Amino acid sequence: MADTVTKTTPDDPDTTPRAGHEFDTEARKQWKIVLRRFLRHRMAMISLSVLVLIVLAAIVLPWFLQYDHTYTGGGRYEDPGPDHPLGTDNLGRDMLAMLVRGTQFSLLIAVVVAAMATVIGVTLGAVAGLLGGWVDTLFMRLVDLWLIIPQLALVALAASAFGSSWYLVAIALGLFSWMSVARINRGLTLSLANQEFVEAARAMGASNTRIVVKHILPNLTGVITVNATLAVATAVLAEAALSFIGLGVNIPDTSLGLIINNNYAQLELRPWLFWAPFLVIVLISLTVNFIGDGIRDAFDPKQTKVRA
Amino acid sequence: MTTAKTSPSDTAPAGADTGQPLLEVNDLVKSFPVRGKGIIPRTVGQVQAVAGISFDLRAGETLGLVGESGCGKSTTGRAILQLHRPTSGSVRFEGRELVGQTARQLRAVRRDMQIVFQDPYASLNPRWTVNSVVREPLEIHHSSWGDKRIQSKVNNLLELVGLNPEHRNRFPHEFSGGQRQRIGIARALALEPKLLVLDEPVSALDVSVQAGVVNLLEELQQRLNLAYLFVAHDLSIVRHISHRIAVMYLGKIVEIGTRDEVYGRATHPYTQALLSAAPLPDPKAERERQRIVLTGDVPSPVNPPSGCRFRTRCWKAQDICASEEPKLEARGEDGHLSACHFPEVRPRES
Repeated sequence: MADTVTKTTPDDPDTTPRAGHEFDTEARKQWKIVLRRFLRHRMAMISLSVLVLIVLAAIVLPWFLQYDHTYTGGGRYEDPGPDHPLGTDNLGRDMLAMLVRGTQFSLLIAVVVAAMATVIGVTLGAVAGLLGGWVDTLFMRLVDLWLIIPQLALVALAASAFGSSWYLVAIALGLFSWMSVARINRGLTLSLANQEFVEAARAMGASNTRIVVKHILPNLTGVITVNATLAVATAVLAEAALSFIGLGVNIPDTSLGLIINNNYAQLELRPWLFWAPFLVIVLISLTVNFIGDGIRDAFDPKQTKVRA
Repeated sequence: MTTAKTSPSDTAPAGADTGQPLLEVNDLVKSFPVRGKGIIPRTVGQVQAVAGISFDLRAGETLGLVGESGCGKSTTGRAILQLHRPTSGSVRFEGRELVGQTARQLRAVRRDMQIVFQDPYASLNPRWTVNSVVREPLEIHHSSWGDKRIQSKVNNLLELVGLNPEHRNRFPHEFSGGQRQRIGIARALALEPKLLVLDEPVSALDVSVQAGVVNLLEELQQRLNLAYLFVAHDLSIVRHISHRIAVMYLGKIVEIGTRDEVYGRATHPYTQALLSAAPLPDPKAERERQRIVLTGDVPSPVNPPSGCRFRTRCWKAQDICASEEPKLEARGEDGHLSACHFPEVRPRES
């Protein structure tokens, strides 16, 4: 992966025109161009590597660790040492094991929430914007209605009804994070649908599905990716808030937000208990945002900084 | 079909046959609702963008549709293609009624009628290569063709409109306005249509580039026997390219006839005012050109004037103009159609 970052071989026919020579004009397939642009986006590639490392660590490390998150046999607040690389918390749990477990859940929740917000928001927004009329009115009133529903009360209700687990938290958060995505995408679709290239597609008999998939969505990718990456970052934090009031992930499981909330009082005395999960949260949201940037740039044909 | 609609054309196009017209438009109306504010928007009025117009168009012929901004020229073009569903009236293409057909039923007809847009920037998807843009109609309608055949067709099309097929993998923003307009024309021609609606195809281009595109359009018409509905507000270009010309004012055709009839012997005061506003290339004539300056603004189409829609700005207006709407019928000596109670050829200055 590292060598693709620095690779600048001008193998593209457009950048190396051989005068008078009938050069190879292999069709530039959209996804190929996008992929190539993305691979050349330095920050995105670095971020992707870091994120992949974090994900791999969260998946693989548990097999090699001495303790898991259910272990409570350590002493109260042990300092970091060979036995507990990140020390233990007030219940004698191994901090490294907790961190790994917490990263797993935070990532899972974040991905589910971002996916839900994006899929629901983009679908409703694009359909409302394209069809207009009563569909538009209905969907947007639904958004208004959804925004005034007290999210916490509903999550509390769900938690008491079904018990709390990570996927319930994820679904609950996902169900309440698509509204702004829908609004933004509706507005953009509305303006795109009135553009002449969409009208041209209609004039040649393209179906609504084709128009959405081929014309509207590709022009929304920038906004979609930025919103999705923001959703990942906010989901990590929102989950922390829910866990704090006891509606999120529960003991013995944990999440990054929960670890921070359990240990923020130790910031002065044992800073690593706070900074370790904090750093992981920051790294996740930061890398996800940079990757989002890279994807957006890769989809933008006018982006000349990294020419395909 | 009413025979009164087709005026005897002294400049009949080469490919025109005397049989059925390619396109017949009858009493076409397109109105848009004006909505009030509120939670449940209520329709408080109707804008008749196109208020009952009729004309027809033969194969290989160019009908120029002129008029000032907002008079319904573009809406007419789009209503014919069913991009705006007409409110009432009839549009027949090769004898087949299009109004009221479902999108599915219209698909087959769409091959035969295409549109070229005014804005060469907005009319091409910025995320698509030129190749994909020109391929799209072929992929929709000729999915059985196979990649090779479609690709060679795309290359032919690009060559046809004067673009280098080797540039096909570039994006629209890498081209100039004139080139982009050619891409739009290539896309419109991909399905080998019989009718092209040209919605101000050159008004967004530099004058020098306009000529190139107009010449291309003329050449294509001769080669492919295309019928054009040429929507424009530039009178000199319309004069250059059209066989017949229809002048629109506030959603209605006020005068229609062959190029020479409309430009030489216009009988409707609005047409005369429009023509007098166009600058002449000859500086001497230009200095002596007498402009008819219309007073006032175009009335709101939500609440158009009674009777003749032009009467509020007309210097000839009498009582009858307010009470009775002048029909578009043969008036004056040569018998081309005009909708004025007081048709009169303006005496030539010079």
